[in-house]
Amino acid sequence: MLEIGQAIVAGILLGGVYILFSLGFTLVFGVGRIINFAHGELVMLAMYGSYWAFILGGIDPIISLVIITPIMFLLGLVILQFIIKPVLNAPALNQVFVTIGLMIVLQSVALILWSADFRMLVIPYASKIIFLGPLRVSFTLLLSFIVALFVTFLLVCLLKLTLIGKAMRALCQDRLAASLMGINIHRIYLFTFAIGSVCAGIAGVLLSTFYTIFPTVGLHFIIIAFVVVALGGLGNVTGAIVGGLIVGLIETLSGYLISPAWAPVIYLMIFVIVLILKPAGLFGIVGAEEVGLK
Amino acid sequence: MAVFGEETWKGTELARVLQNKKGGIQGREIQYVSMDAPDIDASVIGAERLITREGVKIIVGTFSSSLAMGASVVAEKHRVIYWETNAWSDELTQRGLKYFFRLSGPATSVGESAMEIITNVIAPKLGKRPSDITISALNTDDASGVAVWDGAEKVIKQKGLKVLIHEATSPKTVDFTSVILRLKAPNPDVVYMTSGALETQVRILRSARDQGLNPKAFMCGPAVQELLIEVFKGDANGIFISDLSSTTINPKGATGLKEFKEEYAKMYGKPGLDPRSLVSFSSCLVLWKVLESIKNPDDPEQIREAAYKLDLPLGSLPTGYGAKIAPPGDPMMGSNVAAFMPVVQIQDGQFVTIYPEHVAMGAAKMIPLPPWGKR
Amino acid sequence: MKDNFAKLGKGRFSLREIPRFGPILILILIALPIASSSSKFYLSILFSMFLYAGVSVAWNLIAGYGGQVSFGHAAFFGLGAYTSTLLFTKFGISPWIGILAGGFISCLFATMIGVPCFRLRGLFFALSTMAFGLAVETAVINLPKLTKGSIGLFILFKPGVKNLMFESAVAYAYVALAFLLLTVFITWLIERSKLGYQLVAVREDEEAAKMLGVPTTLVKQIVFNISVFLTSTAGVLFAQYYLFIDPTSVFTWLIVQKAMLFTIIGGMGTLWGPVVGTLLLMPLLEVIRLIFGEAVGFYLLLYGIILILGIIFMPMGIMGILASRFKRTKARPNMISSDSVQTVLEDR
Repeated sequence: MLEIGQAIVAGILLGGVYILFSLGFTLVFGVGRIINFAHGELVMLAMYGSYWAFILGGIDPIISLVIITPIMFLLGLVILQFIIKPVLNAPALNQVFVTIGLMIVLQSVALILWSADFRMLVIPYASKIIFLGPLRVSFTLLLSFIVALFVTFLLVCLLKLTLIGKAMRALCQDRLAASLMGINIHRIYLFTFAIGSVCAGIAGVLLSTFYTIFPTVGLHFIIIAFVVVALGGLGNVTGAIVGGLIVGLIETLSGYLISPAWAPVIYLMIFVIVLILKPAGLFGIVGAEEVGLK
Repeated sequence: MAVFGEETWKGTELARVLQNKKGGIQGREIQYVSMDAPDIDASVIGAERLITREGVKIIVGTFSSSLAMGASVVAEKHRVIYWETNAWSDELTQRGLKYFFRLSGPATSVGESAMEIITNVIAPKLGKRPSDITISALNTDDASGVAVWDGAEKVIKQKGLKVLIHEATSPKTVDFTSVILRLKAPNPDVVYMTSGALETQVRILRSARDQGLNPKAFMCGPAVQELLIEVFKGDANGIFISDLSSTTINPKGATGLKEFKEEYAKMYGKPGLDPRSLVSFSSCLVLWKVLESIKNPDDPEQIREAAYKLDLPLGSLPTGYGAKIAPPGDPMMGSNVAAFMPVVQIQDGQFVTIYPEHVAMGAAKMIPLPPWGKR
Repeated sequence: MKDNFAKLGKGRFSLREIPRFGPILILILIALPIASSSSKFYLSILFSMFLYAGVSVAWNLIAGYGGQVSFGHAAFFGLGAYTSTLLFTKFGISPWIGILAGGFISCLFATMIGVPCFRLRGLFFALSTMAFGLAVETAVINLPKLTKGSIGLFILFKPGVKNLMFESAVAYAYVALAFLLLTVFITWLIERSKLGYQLVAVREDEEAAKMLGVPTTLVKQIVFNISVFLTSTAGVLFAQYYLFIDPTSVFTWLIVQKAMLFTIIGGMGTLWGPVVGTLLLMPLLEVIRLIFGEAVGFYLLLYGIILILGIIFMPMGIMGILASRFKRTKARPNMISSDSVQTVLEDR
């Protein structure tokens, strides 16, 4: 009985991290209608940033967030302005191909600069175990979960309470109307993409505290982001939150109950089934009509 | 000559430099033309280029078995000697290639060594017969993990060891909690884990610690590197590791080991603890011996003949290996039957080789293993 | 646009096609003398080039002409390679039969995906194929008793036509070339058949096509299966040349990435586009490798940059631009799927 509880808790904590990078991804789609294949690479870059900050400067990852967040923000701005903007008005698949190109570029830059060697951060507090009642939880995972939750909370506040958040939501719902209302679409795109990049960055820093770091690490995460977002509905923030938790739980529970080896196949199949039965995801895609789905 | 792969590079390069200092091969300087390849297409094209354009007569390498598989096919077609130093896929020497030689051992031996220790050392110390020992096993599904497990399984069947649960998992798994829970559930005596990458091994062990998996012995590998101790500090003590080789073997059982360590530190500025460079270094030493012993070092037929005639006893090389190549007709033709996979235990923050006898530096301790946090 | 469609349905070979074929024939003619030279180095590059060109052409069938981008195409490459290799190494069945068997299995899987997934549009179809591709790779890795998992399978070199293995590298190069020409020929046939006409209709506006009575799902499925069969054949050829396959080498995402890059640069939805793309870009890779030697990342970097610049500045690809230059066809709008998000207002 305890074991299942243990697995569930692990699934939820894992889900927290999944939520964070999926949020950035889904926001960029919802507001900008951009599928950013390079999202995983942004995570990867932040992981390396955190690694080098620690190795070279002795800066704890959580503290390095202070430096990395603005860098990711700027990076997001640059990418949108110079790489995505030229294809913003092109068919959606062109954008996809561009972001795939970006993915390749970022991976190869990492490969050239830092080689394909695996790296791992050894942080003093990574060995702590937290006891929640009878349950045992890894400190780094719990920390990541808490930070992810906090950032998610901030993001939701941003969307619901600020003016720019309102603008983002407006763009999500109806681009035409939003621009008629005087919203500067391009500025909002820039901001949204930068925020998406920041989410990826924070997720990367958190992951660096317990995961292996290497140039192609982003691939694994972009796939998870796709699954989360398909479950929750593209562009849907609540969906990403629920979706992230579900994927985390499916992964851990199917790993525990069925087999760790087949867990990926299980969540991939669920992904496909959801796509087929409810392509809009559990919570509906924002602006589904525009993407050609009914 | 041509060299592939970055990992083994250091050992191979060191071997070349040292031999050249001694006058090269029959007075000729050894030169390397090297290349790196990301995938099999590239390794094949690269091998073709090295052989046909650069005139390379001997290829020395590799770290990656799949690259070696591709490139060696090319070498065979051109009758170029492929002197494999490290890659441990069993399949490499199961193809009956006439010009292929592998100086290190196959991956399955790693698993075999691990199980030997469990049977002959751990079981008695726990006061149990081998057939009463219970094991929970995990291997990552990459090539190394699967190969090592295959070897382990062979011995398990032979000695009648009981495997309560066996899991395979992807090295990309983010959280290993579910796997560890499954391994923990049947309450095993020994937990055996093998993974292709050190970092993955570390993450799995971390999860084991987090979940309080406390068997009476942990057998891991391959992972003879400092990262383990760095991460787990005192908790690393007592863990057994079976690996390709070890730099902490008894120098009395390994000619040239001290020299290797000194020269490595001189050339690269830090001590050579990763056994992979030790292995590539040793394998090159054998090649130098072969080349020195024949009339024409550029003749592949003479090289072959001399290679099959090799009979260096155990302990002749810095790895503690000997050199005796399985002859044509043997199913493992071309492989070095005098290579072995040592088992190491971490004791007091140091790697101590405990098997095999002629290179052991100490005996196994800490059986049964105290729980995490109390080591 | 009107001329374009009208010509497609006619099924006639008109002399005006020749300029279109011209540049490519020249390229092939250049390749042949190299093939007759005994430099094994060039031959190994040629083999690789022809093979990937063929894969790109096959991909182009469903992605360029059909507008159904498939990210999981590597799965079929791998299925072909594994089916044929397993049959050969375990039962001694000739790889020629292996091609058929691999193709059959791939088509089976393609139909299994197609039936539920063709109702998904554009990107979602692409994502579902990606998920499927990953699932197949994971399955192969997790069935080590059958496939030897990540260790991979090797083939003992026993040359002979029956075994699809050859002593001479030239033979391999010719086989790959034959494969490439086959894929182009099939594409050409489809292009001027009713199927091709219907396929393009589906790509341009599926709803309208449906209303006009085109059996859209069937059309997509048939072309998908053809594409998949060809890709799977390429997988078999790969296995027979390199004599070693493992999940990483035959299921890698890189296979689709390369096909995508070559096709896009060459021109999606054009007959010779993928071929031109491959023949131009792959030698470039070799040159980069020669210049930068061991640095693996550089050629990847170049690929990425070319892809980005290509999509931004010439999404029609080289053949697309050439076609418009010759003015026989009006420059087609982007070959890429039409479920695009068209914004009404430009934001400047």
